[in-house]
Amino acid sequence: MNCKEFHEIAHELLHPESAPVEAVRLGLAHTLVCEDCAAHLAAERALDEQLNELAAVYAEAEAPPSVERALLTAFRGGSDAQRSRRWPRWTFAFSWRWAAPVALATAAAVLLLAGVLHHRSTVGTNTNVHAMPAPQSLPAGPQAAPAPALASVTSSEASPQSASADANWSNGFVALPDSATGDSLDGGAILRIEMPASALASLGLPTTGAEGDQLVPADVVVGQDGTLRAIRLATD
Amino acid sequence: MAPRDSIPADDALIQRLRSGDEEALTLLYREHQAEIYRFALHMSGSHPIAEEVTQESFLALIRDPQRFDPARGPVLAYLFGIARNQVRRAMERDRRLQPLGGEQTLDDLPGPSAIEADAERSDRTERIERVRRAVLSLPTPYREVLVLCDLQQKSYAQAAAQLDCPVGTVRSRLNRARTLVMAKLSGTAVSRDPGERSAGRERTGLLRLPAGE
Repeated sequence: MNCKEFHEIAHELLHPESAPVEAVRLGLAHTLVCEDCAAHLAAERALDEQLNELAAVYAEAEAPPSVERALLTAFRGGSDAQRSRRWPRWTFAFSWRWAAPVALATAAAVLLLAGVLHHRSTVGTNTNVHAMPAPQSLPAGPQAAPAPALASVTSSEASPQSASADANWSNGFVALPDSATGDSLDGGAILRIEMPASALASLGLPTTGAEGDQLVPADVVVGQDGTLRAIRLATD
Repeated sequence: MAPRDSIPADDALIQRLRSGDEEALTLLYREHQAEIYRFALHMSGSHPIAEEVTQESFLALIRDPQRFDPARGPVLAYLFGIARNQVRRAMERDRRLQPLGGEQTLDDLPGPSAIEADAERSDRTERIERVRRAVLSLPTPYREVLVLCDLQQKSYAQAAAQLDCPVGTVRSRLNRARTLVMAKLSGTAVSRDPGERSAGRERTGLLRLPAGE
């Protein structure tokens, strides 16, 4: 064995069980005739001792208990997901448990959405009113105008059958059946629409000679809650 | 690495783990966590990184136990494979801990008994710290082998299985790693010329680096 071969196996001489017996025998024999390699073997032995000291520092090191807890938590979460996929019945039970909160959340979301949409439509129609005066001729689609002061128009005064003869009209408007009180009409809007003469007649409005399905222009008052409150024949 | 006769038990635990058995996870974890943790600790010199690596290694097993193939090796080797990658990522991410950093010094680690003299304790602490720094300064492939074989007392075969490389590679890397550590500790440079005379290295302060793997 020469010095190069010795250096390749020197560290293994410290652990003879890890090297071939013949290599160990030749290596140890080499140290008897080569001082440098004998010194190298001593240096390897010293390094071994130092490494053992370092290993001893961490010999009992373990992951803290928090790691195991975190893993078990993660595992339980994953297992729940697996079970829900495997057994639909578990999913059914899960749905019932959360049915009430989900229904409440859904209702709240719908109400919120409706409110937002209504607010936008109100703002939009009022904007149109300010930007565009009431039409002089019949438009093809609905047009909006500011709502008049309708405080005097109330449902109690708005029986369609008696409306034509009643002095409770305001600006020619007559309250529609099932509409709320006039107090809530503040901030509403007027829309120009066309509707069949027969429908106007059923509300007690004069149709000025029009009959049947013939379309007649009319103005309707839309309350802030989006419901129709009053109607009149278009006069301009 | 777990003994060969423990592999069937691990395989059985993996099967139970796949079916959602929490106890199987606990048994697997308690059997192997210390090996993974100490490996990561020696590799990084950082307890937080070792903790993170241990957790991520087992989390990978939890998230997708189907990826473990018993035909390719024991579960510990699989975990080591994950841990090695995690260590590299963690150290690349937090370079201030590499290679000599670390939030914990040996002063914080368990030291000699209280009856030891302060001087002796200081010498020992300093000596271990120097070795630790030398190990941490090794390139990753050499550090992995040295940690497994010399600090975690693995056989060549066990280290080869965990590193997924031939035994001959482990032997040659370990030889080079030890040479580099000795050079670091003695403050000498390392020559890659295997033919350089030993007498010469003493004069010039060079240690001879054995032939490569």
